[in-house]
Amino acid sequence: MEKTIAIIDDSRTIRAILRKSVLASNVQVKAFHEAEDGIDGLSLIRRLHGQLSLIIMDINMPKMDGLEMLKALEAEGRLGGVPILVISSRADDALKASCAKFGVKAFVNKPFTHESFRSALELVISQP
Amino acid sequence: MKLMDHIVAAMDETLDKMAFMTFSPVAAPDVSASPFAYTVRIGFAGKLAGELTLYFTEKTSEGMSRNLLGLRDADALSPGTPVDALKEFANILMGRTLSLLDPATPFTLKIPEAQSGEVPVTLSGATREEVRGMFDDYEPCRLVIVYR
Repeated sequence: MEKTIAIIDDSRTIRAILRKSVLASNVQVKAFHEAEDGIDGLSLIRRLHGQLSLIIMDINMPKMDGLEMLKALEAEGRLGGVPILVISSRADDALKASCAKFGVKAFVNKPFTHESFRSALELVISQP
Repeated sequence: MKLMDHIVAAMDETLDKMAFMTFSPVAAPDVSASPFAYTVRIGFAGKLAGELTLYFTEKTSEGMSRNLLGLRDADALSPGTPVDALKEFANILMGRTLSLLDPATPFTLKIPEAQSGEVPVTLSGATREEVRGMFDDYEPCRLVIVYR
């Protein structure tokens, strides 16, 4: 089944790397939708509520960071059912625990290889 | 172990995993004209607080962005792409450095800033470490970290 994927990261380099990596994986893509900060990400997810198959997101972003965005989405009841994969340069347990509270299914640390990202991606997509 | 040693270790890992380049610290000779086209600066806070400044040549910025994005030499680079790539590199590098230094302690990273040319470090009253090196054995670069 083709997936509609949101990529939320302030770096267009990372967004391009992630698009390329997803396209090279086993995941069938219907569309990518992108945002470059938490505020745009919030708007995007609100607009596509019910259509998204996966959210790939960063934490450290301008205007609104990833945790604040997840908090807002949870308050609006928009987090249920959409798998979330976080990509971050932070690797501490406190962040991972915060992400887990919001239902984040996988966490990939930067720097990452395409192989490690695709393993996390396939794990997240395959989970019920 | 000095903080710069962690930075160099993080640099090796990042370049290996994502940019397919090498970095060799060297005692580079001073040059009368600065070879650096871009300066990228990223602030951080946590157990240590300060800023990392990286100096890159034009060739490095183009090569790094091509490698990160999987582009061939003949592929056009859209305006702003090299600078964005350098900023993301700085973000990954500083994050990985702080994670290597102390995996358990949270930290925050400021959004990286890029400028043309060479911009001197101005943070005073802090520990300062510097390393000069070469990307792929032929492109010079310079890293300066100041922290408290």
